[in-house]
Amino acid sequence: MVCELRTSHLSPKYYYELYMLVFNELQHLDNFISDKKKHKKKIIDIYESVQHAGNIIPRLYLLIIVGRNYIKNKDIKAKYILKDLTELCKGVQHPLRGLFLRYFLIQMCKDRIPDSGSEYEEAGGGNIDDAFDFLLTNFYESLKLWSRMNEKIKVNSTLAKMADENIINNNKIKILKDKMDVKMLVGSILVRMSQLEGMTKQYYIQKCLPKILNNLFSINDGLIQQYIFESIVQVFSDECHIYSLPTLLNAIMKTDNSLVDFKSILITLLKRLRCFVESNKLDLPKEIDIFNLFYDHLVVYVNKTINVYGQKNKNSLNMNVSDYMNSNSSHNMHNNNSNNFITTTTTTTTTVNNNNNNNNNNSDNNNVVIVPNQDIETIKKNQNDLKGSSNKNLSEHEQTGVGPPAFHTSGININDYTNNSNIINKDYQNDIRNSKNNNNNNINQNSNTPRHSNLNIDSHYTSIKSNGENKNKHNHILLSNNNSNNNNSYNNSYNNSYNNSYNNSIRSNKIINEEECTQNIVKMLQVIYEFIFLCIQLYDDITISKLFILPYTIVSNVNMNNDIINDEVINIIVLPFQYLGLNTLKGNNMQTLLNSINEKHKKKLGFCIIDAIIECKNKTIAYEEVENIFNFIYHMFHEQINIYDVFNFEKNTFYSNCEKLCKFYHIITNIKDIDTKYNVCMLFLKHVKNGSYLIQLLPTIIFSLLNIVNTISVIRMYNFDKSGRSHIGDSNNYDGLTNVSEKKEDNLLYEDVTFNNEMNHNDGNLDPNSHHQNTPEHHEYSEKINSNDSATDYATFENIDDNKINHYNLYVKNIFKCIHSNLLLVKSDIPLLAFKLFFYTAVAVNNYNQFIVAHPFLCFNNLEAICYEFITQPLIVYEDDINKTTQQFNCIFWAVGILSSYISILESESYDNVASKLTQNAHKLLKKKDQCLSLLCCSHLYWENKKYRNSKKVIECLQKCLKTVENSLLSNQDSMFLFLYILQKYIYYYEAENLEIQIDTLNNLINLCYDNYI
Amino acid sequence: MGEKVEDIGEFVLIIGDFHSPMRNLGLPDCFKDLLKTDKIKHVLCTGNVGSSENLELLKNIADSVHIAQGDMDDNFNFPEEISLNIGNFKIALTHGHQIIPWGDVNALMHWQKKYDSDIIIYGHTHKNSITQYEGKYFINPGSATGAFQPWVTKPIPSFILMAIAQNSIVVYVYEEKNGKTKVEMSELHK
Repeated sequence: MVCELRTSHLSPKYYYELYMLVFNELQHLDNFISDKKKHKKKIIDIYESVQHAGNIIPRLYLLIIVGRNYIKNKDIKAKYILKDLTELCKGVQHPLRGLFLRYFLIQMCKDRIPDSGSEYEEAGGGNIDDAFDFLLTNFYESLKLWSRMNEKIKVNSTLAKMADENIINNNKIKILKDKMDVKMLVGSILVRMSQLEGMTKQYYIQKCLPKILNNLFSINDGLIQQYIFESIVQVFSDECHIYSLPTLLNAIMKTDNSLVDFKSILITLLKRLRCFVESNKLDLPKEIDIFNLFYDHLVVYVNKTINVYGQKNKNSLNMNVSDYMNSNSSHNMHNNNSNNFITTTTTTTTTVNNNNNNNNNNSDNNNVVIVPNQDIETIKKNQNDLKGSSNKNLSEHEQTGVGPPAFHTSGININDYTNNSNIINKDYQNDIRNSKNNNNNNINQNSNTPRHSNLNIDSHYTSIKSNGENKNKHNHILLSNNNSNNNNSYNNSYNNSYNNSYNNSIRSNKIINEEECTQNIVKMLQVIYEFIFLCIQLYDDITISKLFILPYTIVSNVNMNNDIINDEVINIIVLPFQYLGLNTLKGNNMQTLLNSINEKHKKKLGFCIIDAIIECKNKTIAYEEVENIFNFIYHMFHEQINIYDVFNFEKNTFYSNCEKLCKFYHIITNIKDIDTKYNVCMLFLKHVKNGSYLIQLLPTIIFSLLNIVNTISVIRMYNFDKSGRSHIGDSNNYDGLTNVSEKKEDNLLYEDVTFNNEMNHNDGNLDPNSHHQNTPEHHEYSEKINSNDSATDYATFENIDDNKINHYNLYVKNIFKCIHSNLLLVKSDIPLLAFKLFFYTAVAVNNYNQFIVAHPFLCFNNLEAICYEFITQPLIVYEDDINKTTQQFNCIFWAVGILSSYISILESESYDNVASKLTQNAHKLLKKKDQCLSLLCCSHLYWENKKYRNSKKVIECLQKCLKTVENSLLSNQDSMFLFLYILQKYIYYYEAENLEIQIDTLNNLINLCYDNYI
Repeated sequence: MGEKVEDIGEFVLIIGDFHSPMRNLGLPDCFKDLLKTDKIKHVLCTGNVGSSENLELLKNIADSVHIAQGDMDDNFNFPEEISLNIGNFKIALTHGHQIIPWGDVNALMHWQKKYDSDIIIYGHTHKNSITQYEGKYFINPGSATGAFQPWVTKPIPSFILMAIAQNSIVVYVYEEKNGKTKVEMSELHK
């Protein structure tokens, strides 16, 4: 049966099945051999005799079985047998059979290795070196066998020259597939290696990894290298990777085989590291600078990819460059030969190299120098020649260690170059000077003078660099503007020319090329995404903010009209927002990166950022950042959506977007400082105002504005106390004083009294009479609560002077005006909400009176009129837009509730107007039952607030109610139960000592109910 | 909640007045963690759930969820008043904006006469409270999110957990302060 394994006609998949069958059978043999009693022979004899088998494949399989048992006996050193077996296996050179044989060897002997700590090591069978050697040799042999699986392709293709191309291609694909099918056989060796007990960190770094890599490089096969790299990343422990990062990364980068897909390897590696970091944040060794390790390599890698991208789009870029140069014409094209053309291209596509001349290895000084991708010698010359001149200039701008802006058109000699960099620097200085004068960057000026405009791109890159280094905030802002403008113009011209040449070139060819390039770029962006993700887990904001230069370099060099690229860039942008919140905007290049997103995707970007900010735990907010973020997300507000359109199937998205925006709004307005909060609210309102989200977001905005008013109103307490008493002790001291001071404002504090009621109960002070209001203790109590509640707030308000108070007063005036005008705009769209919001605002106006009273110097004389306006408006809304009876009924109850308890500054006359209006509306309700109940309810309007108490009016309401029910009884006996409600109200007022209630009426009612119900 | 469930009776969550996302971001994180439990048998909500997100949250806490219609629940349709029995106790549940003056125990007393309940649960005022009045308990869980209400100077997020046993109820009042939960326990007898 073992002989069957000699076949070469099976594909790996079927060969594997066969192998498994044989493997199972051989297990029995293994059992037999291991049981000495059964065969009663010396193992050494069997070992010898097995080698006489005729065919090599069966012979070796059997030999491995016996060898395995031989080692177990410990008669002989394990390492000798293992070496013997490894050598003998060389006898099979057919790739597939050989691979399986090796696999079998490893499988059978995996528990017979003289690993450190194993029984075979104790028995003197060797040590970890031997164990590793055994695995490594087999690994290498397997690799060699594996790589030879390709040979078939070559053989086939030469043989089948005449055959159809398709067949060759199919064959090729099939063989490649076969090749990948057997990868597991090789991978398992690595797995066993990683499982060695002796595979310590040290051993891995010093011996294991270098040897594996050595072997790997001698196999010039991209697919295999790719797979092995990935296996290495997957198989060995996190700790090993962290300490061996330099070696591993170097190795990955060194492979110049285009088939090796760095990105996947890097992505896997970065993901692994991130998982490790996430689970043991503290264990990370400090001495390993992951950031710089990766950063250095990524820079190289970004170059590679962009170069390829540039090469692929050579034609278009060349056109671009030549257009560009012709129009600006300060450097002649004549010197350029076709080779230079290519260099030009690569130069234009910006090669970012890590500046090796600078020995700054710490993360704070990651100098990225942009040099043209000419021969390295030239670069060095350039840098040496330029150092003197440029450093002089640059040092003036505190740009320590930044190399010269070497990005340039080709065909310029070094002298030219130096001159130019001087010009750039002058130019740059001009920029700063100008901006200091009028805060305008002189981009326009730039484009007017031909010499300057020629350097447009140059200065653009200078800016990037200086961005990275410059700590001067002023400069930073200027430069980023500069950046974006240049970037845009560059992109535009680039896109235009690209499109032109695209049309001219052979399409099919181009498309394939472009797709490939896009794939590359996308993959690269994914790598950067993972890198940033890892760094976010590891480093502080400053380090992370440096990272954006990488995606930015890419973005400024590729065609941003591509959807996939846009998506990837959005992913990268959004990621830091999830962890740093709005702080992300501080990152260098972040803003330019945000700008680079295609218009079409701006809306998506906006929502992604909002999602990220909602997810983010870090919610510190600064006004500038909010202002800034709006510049990038305002697009979403301008979307026109008709939610009343029956055929709009995206209504749900719309509403969930609204909810997101609400949450976002709460996050950005979660600020203690009143000024900032006010500004943010108003800013948001400004942005939302003309969009379709206004209606949905306005209630939220109004509530937060009212909250500001409330916060300001509370300031009264502190200042009031301060004026009443010079010394401020601990919060308990408030009691005695407030008891006195509060009485002056009896009515004003009405709302506090109602609320103190509950607090009283809460405290376990379960006095049944506690609902009777306006007893002195309650004042004391409520004030105590208030002072305790806001004791912390007082601290923040301590330094408020009269100026500030005036300022706040202005805010409040504005807020009321703003709420009023906006509510009028939307009231017919959301009548129910508008109705309530008007009333809520009225309450806020009412409470604000406390603040005015406490600060006599404030000017706000028409507060009462404003309050009245906010009460009459909802009544208009009620008449105009609230038509459903149930809604009307609810609204009346609601209005009575808020009016009777929380409004106190109205003149009695105005209040009576409103109250009688409400009562009339109640009377006009359609159903008798609704009429009756709402009239009963309206009676409270004339009772609850002592200021407006009018016992007669209460009785009028009740009597009207009685009449209504009596009338309705003529036609319908069902409304009898309403008498019960009326009786209940009568009793309520009777108990509350309304002297107008007559015992007779009460008795009549009781009799009436009694008759009807019993 | 160290005690065993059978000793202490059935857990009833009283919560309401979320108003999110209209008035605030939502439940405080510490509350969210607390509510990730399967020990709660009943949920009584005083209304104003705000969004379907909150509604889902309530429905996931227990099978028996009772929600009263709040004054801002225009998108939902809940009953205005709910009366139910848990253990030996009769409970009446309403949002309370229909009962004037708002949050007034005496008015609530009158309102509940048709149910003759032992416990009356109401909301709307955004201030938690437990009141005994004429042999009945009036419980207000406050606003779970600390939602803004124009007449409340500083709303504190709060909810109430009741453990209803044979003849007594243990009430836990949860309040959020500076990101941490503060619990106060008290015992009510029938």
